[in-house]
Formats: sequence, C-alpha cells, structure tokens
Amino acid sequence: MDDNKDNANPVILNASDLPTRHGESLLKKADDPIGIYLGGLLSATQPIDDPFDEALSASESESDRDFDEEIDAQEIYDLIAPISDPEHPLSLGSLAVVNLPDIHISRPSSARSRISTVVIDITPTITHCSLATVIGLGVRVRLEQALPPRFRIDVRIKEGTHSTGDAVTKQLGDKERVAAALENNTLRGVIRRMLSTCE
Amino acid sequence: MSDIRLYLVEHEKSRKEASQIAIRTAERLQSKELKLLDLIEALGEFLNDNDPSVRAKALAYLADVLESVPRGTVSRQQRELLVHFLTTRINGDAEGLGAAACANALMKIEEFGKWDAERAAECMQTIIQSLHPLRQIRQQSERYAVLKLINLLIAEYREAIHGLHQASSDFMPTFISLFEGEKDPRNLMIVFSILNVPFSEWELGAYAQDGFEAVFNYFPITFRPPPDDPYGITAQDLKDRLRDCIAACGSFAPYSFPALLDKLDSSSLNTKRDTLAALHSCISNYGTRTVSLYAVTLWDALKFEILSVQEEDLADKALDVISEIGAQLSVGRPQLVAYLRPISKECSEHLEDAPTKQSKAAGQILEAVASRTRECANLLVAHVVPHLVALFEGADSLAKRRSLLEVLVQLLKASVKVFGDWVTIAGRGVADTQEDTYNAFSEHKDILVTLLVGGQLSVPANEVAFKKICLEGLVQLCMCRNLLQDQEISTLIRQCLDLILDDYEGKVELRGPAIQALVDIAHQKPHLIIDHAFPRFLSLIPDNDTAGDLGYVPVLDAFSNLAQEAKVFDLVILRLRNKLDAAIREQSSSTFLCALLSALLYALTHTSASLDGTDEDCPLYGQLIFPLLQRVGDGSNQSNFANNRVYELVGQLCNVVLRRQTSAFQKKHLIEIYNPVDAFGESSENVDASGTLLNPLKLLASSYIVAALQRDVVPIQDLRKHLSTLSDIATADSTSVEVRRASLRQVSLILNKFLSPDNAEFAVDLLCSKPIGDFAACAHKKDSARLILASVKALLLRNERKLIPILPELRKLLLDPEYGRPVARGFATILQSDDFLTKENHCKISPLYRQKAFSLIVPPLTTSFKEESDAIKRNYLVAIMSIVKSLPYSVIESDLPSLLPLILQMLDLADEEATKVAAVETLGLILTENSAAMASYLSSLIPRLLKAASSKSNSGAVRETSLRCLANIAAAFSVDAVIPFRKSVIKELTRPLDDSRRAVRAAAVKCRTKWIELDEPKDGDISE
Repeated sequence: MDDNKDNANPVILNASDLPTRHGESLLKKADDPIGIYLGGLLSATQPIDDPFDEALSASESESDRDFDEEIDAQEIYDLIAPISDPEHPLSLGSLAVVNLPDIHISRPSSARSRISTVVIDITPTITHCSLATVIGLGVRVRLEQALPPRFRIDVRIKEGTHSTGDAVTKQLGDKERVAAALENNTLRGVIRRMLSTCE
Repeated sequence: MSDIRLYLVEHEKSRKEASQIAIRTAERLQSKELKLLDLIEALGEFLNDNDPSVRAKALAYLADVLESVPRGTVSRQQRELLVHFLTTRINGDAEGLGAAACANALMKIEEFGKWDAERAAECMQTIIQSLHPLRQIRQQSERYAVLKLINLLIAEYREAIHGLHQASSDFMPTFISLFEGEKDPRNLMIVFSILNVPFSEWELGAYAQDGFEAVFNYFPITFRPPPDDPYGITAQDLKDRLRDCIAACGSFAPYSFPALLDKLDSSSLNTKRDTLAALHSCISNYGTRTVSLYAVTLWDALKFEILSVQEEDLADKALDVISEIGAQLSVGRPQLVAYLRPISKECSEHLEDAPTKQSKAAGQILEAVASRTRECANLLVAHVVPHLVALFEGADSLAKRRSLLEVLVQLLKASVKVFGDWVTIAGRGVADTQEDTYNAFSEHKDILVTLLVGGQLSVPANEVAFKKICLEGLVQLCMCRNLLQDQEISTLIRQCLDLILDDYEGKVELRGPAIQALVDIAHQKPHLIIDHAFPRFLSLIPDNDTAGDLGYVPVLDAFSNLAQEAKVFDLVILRLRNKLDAAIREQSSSTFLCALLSALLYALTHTSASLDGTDEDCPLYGQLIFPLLQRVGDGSNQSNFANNRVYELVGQLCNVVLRRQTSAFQKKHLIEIYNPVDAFGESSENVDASGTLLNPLKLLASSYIVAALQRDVVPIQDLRKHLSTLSDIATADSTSVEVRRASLRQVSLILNKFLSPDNAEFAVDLLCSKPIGDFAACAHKKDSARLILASVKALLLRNERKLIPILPELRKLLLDPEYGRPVARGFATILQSDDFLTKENHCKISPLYRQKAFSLIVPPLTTSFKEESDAIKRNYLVAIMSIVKSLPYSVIESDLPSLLPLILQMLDLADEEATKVAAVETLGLILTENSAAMASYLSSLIPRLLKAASSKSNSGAVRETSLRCLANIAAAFSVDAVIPFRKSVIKELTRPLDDSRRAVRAAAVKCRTKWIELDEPKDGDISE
C-alpha cells in the first residue's frame, strides 16, 4: 500500500530537535545559574498568596501588560509545524517540510502602514512530490485562520527543492485559484484532516 | 378436561397459565396421584396427531411437567424409559418442531441423574442424524435449546462423544456441518464453545480444513448488538470465542495463516485489528513446531504494518505478534535463528539510512522482540550491535549517530527487561546460575562504554539531546544485571558528577537527567554512590560561608536529591546535619543555614524512605529533630540562627517528621517537643505591646509543631488564655507579617484540633461573634477580618455547630466602605486549600464543609444584592466568587438560576482581575458539567466574553481564560444553537489574534479554529 506514496521512507527529525521557544527561556535561565536552584531548593517554603492583598499582585501584572511579545518567526513556525503530512501520520515540522530559517517576516515598510508580510518557503520531502500544492494550501489556510488580518501571507516552494516548484508557487500565490480550490469538498476534507492535529 | 387438553388450549393464549397447569400435573405426579406411565399414555394420542404443532405442544407439556418435578420423583428406570422415548421422538419428528421441548426435557432428566456413556452417545447420534442441519429448526430459541443440550453432552460426556468420533470417520464432518448457517449471536456463542472442544482436544485429521472453514466463515465479526439486547452479548464476546476457535489447534495453521494474512490486507481498520489479535492467539496456541513453519512468512507480512505505519495501535499489535513468535520459538535454537535472521538483517538495513521513518520502526521492532526472552535478546544483540557500532563510527552526521544510539538504548532497555537489574532478577523466577545468564551485551560492553563516554565528551556543548541519549545509554548499561564491573560503574558516576557540578554550557538541561541517573544507580549500587559521589559533594559544601560565595547552592540541591533513594537517605540526612552543626559552630550567615535546612527539608519531603517511627522509637527524632529543638530551646539569640526563616524551616522540619509519629510517641516526648518552642512559656526579654511575654521567633516554629501533633496530644493547658493571647498578637499593630501569619495558623489549628465542647462557646464568641458585632468600630479592620475568617475556616472544617448562626453574619463585614473590598477578596481564604489544615496534620475535615459554607454564606448575599449600593454590590460579587471558585459543580448546581446572572455581571467589574478569571473559569465548569443550564444565556454571554477577550484594560489572564471559555462554548452546544454567533465571533476574534501577549494569541487561534470548524461537514463521509 505504500507503493502509491511518493516517498515511503522520509527522513524524520527528532522531536527534541525541532525549534521551540522553550529552549530560549532555558538559555535565559542559564545566565543566572544560582537563582534557579535557589528557587527549586526553597520552593517548599514559599508563602501562599494572600487574597486580602490581591490588589497588590494584580498591579504587578500591570507592569508586564506593557511589554510587547511581537509575532515572530518561531510563533509562525509553532502554528504550522504541527500540521500533518497528507501521506504520513507525521507533522510537517518533523518531516522538515517547514523549517524555522525559512520563515521570514517583513515589518511594515512605513510608519503609516500596518501591513506585515510573512514569506514561508516549504521544502517537499522529494523533488517530485505531487502533494506539494496541497501542503502549501494547508499552510496557507492555517495562517489565514490564525494570523491577524494585517499580515499578508506568501507561501512558496523553496527554490531548487521541487521539479515544478515555480509553477506550484505561482498557483499558491493566485488568490482566485486558492479560493476555487477551497470550494472543492474533497480537498477541503484533506486539508481539514491535515489541520486536525493543530492544537 | 384433562390437564394435557387444558395445557394445549392455554399454550396459545398464556404461557404463564400453561406452565401453571404443568406445575399442577407435577404436583400430582409427586403425590403419586398420577403415574408417569399414565401421563405418557395420555400424551399418546396428541403425539400421533397429524398436526405437527400439536405434537410439539404435547412434548412441551412433558418438558414443562418435568421442569417442575422435584428430584427423586422419577425413578432410574423411568428415566431410562423417558430418555429412550424422547430420543425416538426426536428421531421420528421430521419437521423438528418438538426438538426444543425434547432437548429441554432431556436436560432436565440428565439433571436428575447422570447417564451412562452409551445413553449420551445414543442421544448425540440421534441429534446428528435427525436434526442435521440444525438450521431446519426455524425458531432461534428452539435451536438454542438443542444447542444447550449438545453443549451439555460435550461438557459432561466428552469421552462418550469422543468415542463416536473414534468409531466412525463420518461423525466429525457431520458434527461440524451440523451448525452450518447459524446466525443468531446467542446461539453462535454456544456453537463456538462446542466446536472448540473437538478442535482443541481431538485429532481432526482430514477434517481440519472443514473445521477451520466452519468457524472462519464468521470472521471478521461485524455484529452490532441491538440497543435493548436482553442477552447482553457484545461483539467482543463473539470475537473472543471465535478467536479461541481459530487458535484451537495447530492443524489449522495451513488454512488459518494464509486466510488471516489475506484479511490483513483489508482496508477496514477494525478487520485488521481483529486479524492481528487472532494471529496473536494462533501463535500462542499452535505450538513451536507449527509456528516455526510460518514464522518467516508472518514476519514478511507483518513488518509492513510497522515499517509503514498506518495507525499507531495497529503497529503496536503487529509488534506484539512479531515478538510473540520470538517468544514461542525461544525453546529451540535453530528455529529461532532462522526466524531472527531476516529480522536483524532487515532492521540493520533500515538503520543504515537513519534517521528515517523506517529506521525508527526498526528500533521498535528490535526492542519489542528482544524484550521477550533472553534468547531473542542475545541473538539480536549479537547480530545487530556490531553492525550498529560500525554504522556509528562511519556516520557522517550527529543526527544519524543519535538515532543509532536511540536504537542501542532500546536494545539495552530490552536487555534490562529480560535479564533484570542488580536488585531484581527478571524472567524465570528461579535463581540463575552464572552460565544461564550469558548476556550478549557483555561481548560489546567495552566498546559501548567507550562510545557512549566519548560521545558525551567529544560533541559540542549545545548538542544537549545527543548528550542526553549517551547518558541514558550509560545508565541502562549500569542497570543491566551482572554486566558492568563496579569499577566501570564508578567511572560513570564520576561522569554524572562532572555533568552536575562542572560549569559548562547547556548544563541546565543535562543536570536533571544526570541527577536522576545518580538516584537510579543509588538504587542499584548504593555503596558506589556513597564511596564515589558523597565525598565529591561534601567537599564542595563548605563549613562556613564567610567567603560569601553562593556556589554551594547547586551542590546542595543535587545532594539533597540523592535522598530520594531510601538506601542512601539516612546518610544524606546525617551528612547534611553535620554540615549544619559545623555551619552554626562557625557562625555562618543565616542564608547558608537556610540553604542547609532547605536541603534537609527537601530530602525529607522527597524521599521514598518511610519517616514513620514506632511508639517507642524514631531514629530521625533523635538524630535530627531533638538537637534542633534543643537549639530553639536554648533561646539565646545566638547570632545567625535567630532568624525568621531559620525558625520557620526548623518548624517545617519538625512538622514533617513529627506528624508521622504515633500519639504514644508524641505524648512521651511532648515536653521536649513543645516546651522549647512555646512562645509564652518562659521569661523572655521580648515583651509585646499587650504586655504578654512573647518570643515571636518561637511562635514561627511552634505553629508548625502544633500542626504536627495528633489530636489527643494537647500541648496547652489553658486554652482560653492561649487563644486570647494569640488573637491579641494577630491584631496588634506591631506584629510582623510572618508572626501574624503564624499566629493565625496556630489559632486555626487549635480551634480545629484541640477545642473541647465546653470551650466552643467561648471561642466562637471571642473570635467570631464579638469581632463581627464590633467590626464597624474596630481599629484594625483588616487584621480583625483575617482572624475572623481564619477562625471560621477552622471551625467550618470540623463542622462546629456553634458556627451556623455566624456564617450568614459574615455579610456585615462586606458593608464597610473602606475595608469591605479587601475582606471580600479575603473570603477566598475560607475555602482555599492550605498547607496547615490538612489530614496529614491530623485536622478534622468534615466532608460537607464546602456545601455548608456555600449554603450559609452565599444566599444572604444574593437575596439582598438588589437593595445595595453599587460599591457594596461589587463587594458582594467579589465575595461570592471568592467562595464559588473553590467549589465543585455539584455544590453550586441547585443555585445556578440565581448565580448565573451574577456571574455574568462579574465580567463587567473593573479592577477585579482575579474575580473575573474565576468567574470565567466557573462558567467553563458549568459548561462542561451542564451546558443546558447556560443555553438561554448564550446571547448575553458570548458578547461579554468577546469583549473580555479584546479589552485592553483586562489582564492577560482574563483575556486568555475568556478565549478558552469561548472555545468550549463552540463544542458544548449543538451546532444549531451556536451557528448564529459564528460570523460575529470569527470576526471579533481577529482582534485577540493581534494581542500583545503570546499566550492570549495562542488561545485566540485555538478558539477561532473551533468556531471556524463549526460549519464543516462532520468527518466520516471522506475518511474510510
């Protein structure tokens, strides 16, 4: 039955190798080695919250209300990496179809514009993968659902990774063709199943 | 009219009436009023009636009569006659209409007394000759009766029936085809169990194929029980019995394996599941010789389920089958070698281009098969490990090396499973001799150690995952029974220590696994840890910290973790205690003392060793607790020991140990336990504002001690005075935050554990009624409220009846213009879980306290809500949520109609973030438990949640929980109920998608996806 798959035995990345934000925070902690152990060692003795003085603790969170966590490449990656491959029960992240370095965000060009653009280059597992269009469409649909409207989304096939890469890229960039494709119920079903593994 | 005539008339109309008649006849038989012979004679004319249904009814009458006759009424001779009579009836009744009645009657007669073999054989012969095939009997319930009779014959007269089979080669084919075409599930259950007997016990010879096909026709079972099935037979019951039949004997193998492998190609996942389960049973039952003939064929077919996995559970089942074959073949070496050779060859090939989907599957296969028997493990290790090492050494990427190591670790784990570790011997149960435990890994252990240690050291520091897998491999090597020498293990211990203690990049992630590795080794080889790890740790913990270096903190953290293992626990405690003694002697800072005490506390709370002592003795008490209490008792303000944190930690240590001791032990030592920490007990230089002698430090420790005492170990003589003093301290201006907290806790503990009935009135008056009455004029409102609520909580937990009139009065506290608001928040303390009033601290916890708090505190607030001013309303809302947020759904269920409107109003409160979060969470709880209750509120709830999610003035937590709740709404209601909101929700949610907080955005994405999915067609029309 695997004869009809384009690539029956793709390379798989180890889950722990996939880029996460978690790694960043650990690195940050490593700057303060003593602090984290003190926390662990002394956590058993930390006083419980005092509800009477909650107003105080609320104002603490006020302070971090100001700091901005902008939408960055990692966040885009986290949105699309869990999408399932249409052929294998594996995620696009672990198949290295989507990769963090291939996600580029360009901020608004002028102060007046709010429009940012996300460019995502996807890497099919093999050069003749017939499902590259479907995968690209899945990524596009996911981001259209999950990003605020001020983002323009541009999904491309990474240069040199696919025999008909340019054609597929053109297809994915054509709004009308994308909309027409999504009218097709079978295709919608396939994409829904791909996205069902997204949290 | 005679009974038989009456019966025939009633039979059509009422079964009940008819059986009454039969019972009457039976009574007459019993009282000898009627002779059996006469009865049969009376039946005669009906039995010869032209209408077959009359004949059947006459037989049913006989069966019913026999059913009601007590044992002993029918003599042996009569029984023989009856059996003969009934068998001829079966024989003579071509239409088979009376067969069920005959079968029932025969079973009843058998119950009266055993038959001889001849009779049983005759009976079976008759059935086979006259009723073949059984499907000629139309009614399934009648076939059921006959099947039960056959089942009885097979169960009780197996030898006799076997005799029939041996005597005639015609018997078996007729017997097998007897059941052809049966479709009723209840009957099939019996058919399968009947057929299982000849299949599994008798030589089938040439009829194996017939037998197999007779049952395999039913495979796979697709039966779905009707909703009101009176027999309660499930598809699984049928599947189990059918599987037993298919797996019944090895001579089925030539038919069953090809047929099952054919079914494995089915496109239905359920068929594949059943097929794999059947294969598993066949392999377990067919015997080594048979299995060995098909082993390689099976492997060739099954491997695809794993290598190109379709569904995880199918792959797991296929792994089970493959490893079961290995287990079955482990008794004979040549067969096992023949089976494992293609497996190890194929897996080795897949490993060559690791990491791929198939190399991962290869690792799973190797682990599964090697985990079954030592023989499997040894053969696979001998074949695969050298290849694996060669691949590792020739690998060009770290990713490849790591995935090879992962496979190695899988094999090592399997090895530990079959050979056991140093503490437990796995497998055969008998003590193994040295020769028997040859482990193929011993041939490769040197190269593996070099490879793993080298891997650990040579790769760049940021390759944490690679280092982790090396460490895991080393730990497995250490675990495996009789594999490494002590000396080799100690090398590994040193390496773990380097990972824990040396300074290098990436340390944070490896440290945890390295510590865990030491704990694991401590379980296997405690003396090695003590010899090699302890000195290194202890040399890094100074006796004093006058240098001001905090470098000891991570060391203490790691060292205290070792106490997890019971075998080294005592020694960890002893060493830490010695360090503490030295530190005090050398005038170390209180920070250092706190770190040491925290390490001790960590060790005590995380160990697997028991802290329980006997009535007489508790080693930890003598070693650790008593000396600490003595130090507290000295009272001298010795330097750095006299510190709030130090005293609190000492109290916690005492608490952890003492609360595990019996009350006999506590009573015996009460004076030395409590007096040293009694803050009022001795003259002290500290005289507090109210004129009481008080040592605030000791109060910090004594609250923990009071918490540890059993309820019958009362530490204080004059309880009233003690409570008064504590309440003065708790409300005095001069009291520090820590001491206030300690005194409130002590009040709670004493009220809950030691309050006698004659003191109850006094305590409630002193701590609740009076302060509530005087609240308006009180000078320290906030602290006074704290004391009231702490007392209420303690009394509520023990279900004190005197408290009942007090609870509704709490409302008055909320009316205060200045302090009403903090008090409203403070209401949360009543039901908040806390570390003091717990079962472990021997407190009385009534099961109904939540219910009681809710039903007495909340209704006075909801009823007077409308009449209050806005400020008071807000206090009420906050107070209600403070209570409700700690309650399970069942408690609030009955009050939902009055609560829900209030909860919705809470979402509009400004600057009450905690209340808003709790309100949204409560809404979420109601949604999951009983969404119907909220159906009518949807149109006001959804816009409120959307507003809460996008409003910048709300805290991040409010925005996030609102989005989660909104996502739940999409799932909790029928599509029709929520679809009208879909469009606006999806549109509004674009704002939270652009929230400044990442967590809020993530929640918004999830929520929006849920709502978008609402109008998609449900799955099922496309898949499968």
